[in-house]
Amino acid sequence: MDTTKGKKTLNQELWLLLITVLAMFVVTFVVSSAFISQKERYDYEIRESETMINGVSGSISSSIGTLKNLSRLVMLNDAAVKFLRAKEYTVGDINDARYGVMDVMNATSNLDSIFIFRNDGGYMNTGKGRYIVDFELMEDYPWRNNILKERGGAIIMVNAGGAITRRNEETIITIARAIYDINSQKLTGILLMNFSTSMLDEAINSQGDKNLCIVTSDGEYLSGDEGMCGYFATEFLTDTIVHKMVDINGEKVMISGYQIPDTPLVVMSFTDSNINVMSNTTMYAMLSMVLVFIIAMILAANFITRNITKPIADLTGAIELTKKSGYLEKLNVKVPDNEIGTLSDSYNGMVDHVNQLFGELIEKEKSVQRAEMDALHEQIKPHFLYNTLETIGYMALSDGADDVHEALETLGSFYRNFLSKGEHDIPLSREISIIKDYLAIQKLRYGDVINDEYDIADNVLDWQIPKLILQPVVENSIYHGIRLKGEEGLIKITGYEEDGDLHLIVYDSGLGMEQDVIDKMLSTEPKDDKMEKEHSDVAKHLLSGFGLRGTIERVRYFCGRDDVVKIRSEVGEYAEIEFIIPSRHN
Amino acid sequence: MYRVMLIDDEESARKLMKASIDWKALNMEVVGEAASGIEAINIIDDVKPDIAFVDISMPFMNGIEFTEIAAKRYPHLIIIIMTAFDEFEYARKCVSLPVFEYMLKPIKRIEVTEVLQKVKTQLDVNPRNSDYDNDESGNEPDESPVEQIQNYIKENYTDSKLNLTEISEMFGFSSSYLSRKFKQETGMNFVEYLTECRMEKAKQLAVTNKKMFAVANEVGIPDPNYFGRCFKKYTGLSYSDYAKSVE
Repeated sequence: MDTTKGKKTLNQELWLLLITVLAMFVVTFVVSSAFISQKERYDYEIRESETMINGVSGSISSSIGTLKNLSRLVMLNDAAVKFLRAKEYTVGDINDARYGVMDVMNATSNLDSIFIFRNDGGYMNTGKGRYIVDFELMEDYPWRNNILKERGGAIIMVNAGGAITRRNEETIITIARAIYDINSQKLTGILLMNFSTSMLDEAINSQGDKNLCIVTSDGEYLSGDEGMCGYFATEFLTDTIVHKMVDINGEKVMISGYQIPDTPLVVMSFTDSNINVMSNTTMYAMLSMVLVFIIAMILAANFITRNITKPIADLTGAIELTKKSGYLEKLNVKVPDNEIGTLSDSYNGMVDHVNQLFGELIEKEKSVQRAEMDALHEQIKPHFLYNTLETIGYMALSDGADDVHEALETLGSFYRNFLSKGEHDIPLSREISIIKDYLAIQKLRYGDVINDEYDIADNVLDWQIPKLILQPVVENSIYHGIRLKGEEGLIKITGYEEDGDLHLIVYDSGLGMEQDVIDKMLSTEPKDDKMEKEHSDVAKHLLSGFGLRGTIERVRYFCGRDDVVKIRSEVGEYAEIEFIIPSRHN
Repeated sequence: MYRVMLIDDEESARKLMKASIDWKALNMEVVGEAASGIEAINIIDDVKPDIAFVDISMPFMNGIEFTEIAAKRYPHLIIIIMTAFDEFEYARKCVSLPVFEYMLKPIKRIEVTEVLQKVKTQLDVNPRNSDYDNDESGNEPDESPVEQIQNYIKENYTDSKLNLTEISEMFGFSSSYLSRKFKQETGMNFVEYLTECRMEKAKQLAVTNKKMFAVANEVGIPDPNYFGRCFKKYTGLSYSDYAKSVE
């Protein structure tokens, strides 16, 4: 469509909008999915770490609980009780106690050693290694009070709070409790039951993950990934799991820590950042959302194109077409039965209305013209003219001036046809007789300068043509063709039918026409004001033979088309004007 | 020779027609002219035309009205209507009229000659009984109808369409018989008698100072021009002079 050149069509704008929305959606999707995956990863890591930590700590707690119960058995062991109750004890007592305690120890794999101290400083021990006992520390009030304040309850310490260390420096975990006599309820001694870190190793292994580490509340390594203990922080010393992000080799890693309640043990976990935590379901859901959205948009665009822009384009095309055809015609395009259909109906209604107005206008214009013509006829008074012609004709005849009579007769005949009113269309034969009369009179004026020839096919003599379309052309041929050339000339009228159209050709061997004159004659541009003014004077109009251009306009109006007039000419040789009157008028 | 009557209110038109057509070559002659339908009705029985050129636009009785009457009374009369273009369609609408041809004015000799050629051919091929000379019907009655007719004229002369043919038909005689009989018994022909009746009445009315056109209308010659001619012919004086002289 030419008219939309240089501006965006609705369709283009629509697609632009859709593409923009799609782009925005994709960006939002990527950002949000990144965010969500980040968040989800974080949540996943927290979940994972908590699961691991809880697993490890639960395992350790339960193991410690078991050991605690075991420690009671130790306290109640007859040999041990005897060793503690004896005022004086023998090596045999110690050995008895040792054997008694060993039974307990053998039942549990992780137990490292058991120490029982009497109040007087005597002690017995059984264990898997060699130990250094710090008696001085044990005499210190804080150390003892730490145990005694529990009134027989167990506390957990590392290396018995420094009191017992293995010679091979392996760390041990101690369950310490004060021993009271069952009967007297008097403090009889202190039990230190030590287990090795292998118990912790088991707990970590049970989680099947290497990214775990157990340290003491001082941050000393106990079990698991030793490299991790450097990331110990005091903030982990709580009974809730604490998470923190740490940069390791440029990678964000989450470290979670947790102190197992009532113990000096801190469990730390690292979560592997490399694993893809974004769940496939989420991914698929999001991707399918994008897909659905794109499809929905294409459908919407298609819908809009089909139901709005395409029908509008069709309508516009149809309107353009009727515009070009020169008539206002009703649209006959198939449009959907919606607002577009209503628009089309409204347009058709408007066309009806406009056509009606046109009709009225044309009627009005015609009646005005008719009134003007009537007035003109009234002025000319044909009867007066005819009677006068007859009177003069008789005078000429009675004076023997036959040629005068003949001229008057021809003039009378010419005016008889020329001034006849009431008809706009006349048979071609009558137009030809007008031309013959006209040329006969002109020959009287200009002598033999003008020759005329007629070649009219018999089958077109009765065709109806607009009155006086040839006479002005012939007049033009004389005054702008033959007369100006200054030599004898020929005017030839040809009429024939071809493809159902009537072709009327007025040829003159006169001066011819320049191309720009032809263009001006054939121009469909409205006449300028000056010309308009000239033509508005009806009398001048009529007496000047309507003028060639006015005649061309009348023929075009009569045929309802612009391409019914052709002018051919060679300057200095000839000019030829052709009217093609379509058959629908006959 | 076929007899031609020209009925046109324009004298020059009649003259031109008479002068410009070669009547002899057509075996025709112009035997009478009338300047109005009224005059034509009055004199047609004397003129006895075979062919009548009738102009449409005439005052008092136009060509159409005349044709209606004439076609009825003279069925053999060939009527050619002359008309200017603006009346052409009007004339055409009276298709019921037995008109031989409609022709456009101003006349063109070649066209008129062509039409007359056709008329001549038709008349030559079908020589028809004349509307005026059909004596052979003449079963002459024993009792003379002339007195009766005279009375009828006296009572009805104000009817402008009254003429010999009409009365003949009314009383069942041929017009030529009646014309002859009338002349025999009264010493004047029918038209003279009818005119006398009208003029006598007109003379009476002239004394009352009435305007000529009103009198003309009253006595059955609504064409004041024709009335004036008749009056002058009858009294020797123009109407106004007569009115003055009587005063």
